[in-house]
Amino acid sequence: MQLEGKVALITGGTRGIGLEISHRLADRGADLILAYKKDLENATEAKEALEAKGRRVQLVQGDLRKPEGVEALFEQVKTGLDQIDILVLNAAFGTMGEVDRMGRFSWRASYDTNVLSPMLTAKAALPWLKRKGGVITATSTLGAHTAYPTYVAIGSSKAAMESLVKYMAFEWAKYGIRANSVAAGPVETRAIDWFRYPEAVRIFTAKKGLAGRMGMPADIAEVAVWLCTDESRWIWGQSIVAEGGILVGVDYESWKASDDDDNTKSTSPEAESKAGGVA
Amino acid sequence: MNDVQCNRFEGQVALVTGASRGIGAAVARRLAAEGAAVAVAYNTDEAGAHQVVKDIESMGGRAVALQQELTQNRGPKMLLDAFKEHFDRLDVLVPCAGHAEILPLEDMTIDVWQRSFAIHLDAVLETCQASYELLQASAGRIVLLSTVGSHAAFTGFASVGAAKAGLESLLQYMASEWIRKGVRVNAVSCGTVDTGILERWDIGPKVRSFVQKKTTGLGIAKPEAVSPIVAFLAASESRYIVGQSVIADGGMTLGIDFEEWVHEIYGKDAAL
Repeated sequence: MQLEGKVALITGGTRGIGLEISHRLADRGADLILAYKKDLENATEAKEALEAKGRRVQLVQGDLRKPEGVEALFEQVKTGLDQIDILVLNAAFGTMGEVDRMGRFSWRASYDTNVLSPMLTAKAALPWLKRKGGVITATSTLGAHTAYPTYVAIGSSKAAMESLVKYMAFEWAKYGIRANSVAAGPVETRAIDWFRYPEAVRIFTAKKGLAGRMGMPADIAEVAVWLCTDESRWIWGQSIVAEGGILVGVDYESWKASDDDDNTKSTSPEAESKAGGVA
Repeated sequence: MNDVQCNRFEGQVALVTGASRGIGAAVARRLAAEGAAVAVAYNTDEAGAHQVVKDIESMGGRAVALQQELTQNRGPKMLLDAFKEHFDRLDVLVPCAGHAEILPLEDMTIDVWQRSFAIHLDAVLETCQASYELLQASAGRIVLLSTVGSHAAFTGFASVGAAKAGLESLLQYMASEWIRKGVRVNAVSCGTVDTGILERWDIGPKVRSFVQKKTTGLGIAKPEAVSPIVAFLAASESRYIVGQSVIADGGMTLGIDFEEWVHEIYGKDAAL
């Protein structure tokens, strides 16, 4: 199998996209170290499901936003599987809200989890990753490349994380460590309900994007896991955008001009009827 | 290869242009190794094309060599006509045919310029158009081949870089317009690949040594470094990736390294 003999450490690997990634890494033969913060019950459930696939699974606990939490977590790695070939930086956090409503603590909380923690975690994992040349894959968001409503704390912190990943790829190339990100469009996880109007996100994504549906965790996990394999060995320091095509085109054919919009009055009846329908 | 993803194209048909050598040949072999029947389109290198067909047949696959000059009038249309005589479906189209001449801009001729646009842009558009109907029927995928020379300037590479920049824009338009009919389009943007072309350039040895140093210790890419990425973008694994150009250059354009100047100015023992 593709990843047999390798060990992957995944942050946030016990739910959502992270859990999908864990399962796919296990399917390809990797053993797993799952880092969790406080939900032991959820982490244990994930561990048991992955062990059922015949893989070794170690749970490690720690608050990766703090140096002492990172140290404690990697102590557990040392006395456990004591190997890391693949590091998946997937844990994420964010407070929703517009710029003018953003408070200092919400802002800092997003940056702590999405930027500071990946830096501290990757640095702590470096001694293991250096042994044979490893891979780092981070999960990011399309919100780092474009603006969504109420998404500034997450989007901007993930943009910073993608930059961090590029620097890791650049600086650690000499150790044979390859780092990339996958930037996901809207995906059906519990985080979607953090949006003020989640249904609008779903409908927009389904209408604008591929196959008329929301992204699913598996859509993103497949890309992330592929980035962990040798198949992608020539891709270094990149962010692969997987967003179902919602941002690629500017589609005015499906634009609904409103009745009181002055512009519509000067258009031909033919153009007006076209503007009303969805192609 | 591995047991998780070794049969992603079972029962499918792929058309690869420029498949007699270089990246095209590696892509044809890779798709065939994963179960696709492959049309190996070529222009001049008949021996190369037949070797690729032979390689595919010897691993139990099906392949047909199709000769066509794609920049001639109606060339892509004729290629597809010939293709349809052998196959009744098309799932994956990879237009790889290309040709690069190194010329600094002051020496650029309109002939070299137009030849580049004809093969890297016009012929690709027409090949995709001629394939569109078949691709719609199979929810097909197109994977275009681009170059990081379209994002940054590599001395003497302007005729290819500019044409490929046009191709990357065409990618966005094609992806956006055709996804509605289920046809998914993406690109791989390569760094320097060892396709034999370096040997034909005066500047070749210099390019080779530069790339060797700049690609994070990987050395110069073999075509087999690119073909797995093409295969990924043609497979359902990448179903949520639309209209993207994936940069695969081994880190060549990743950062700016002034290490050599540190040593030149501060001595070779200076700590980095």
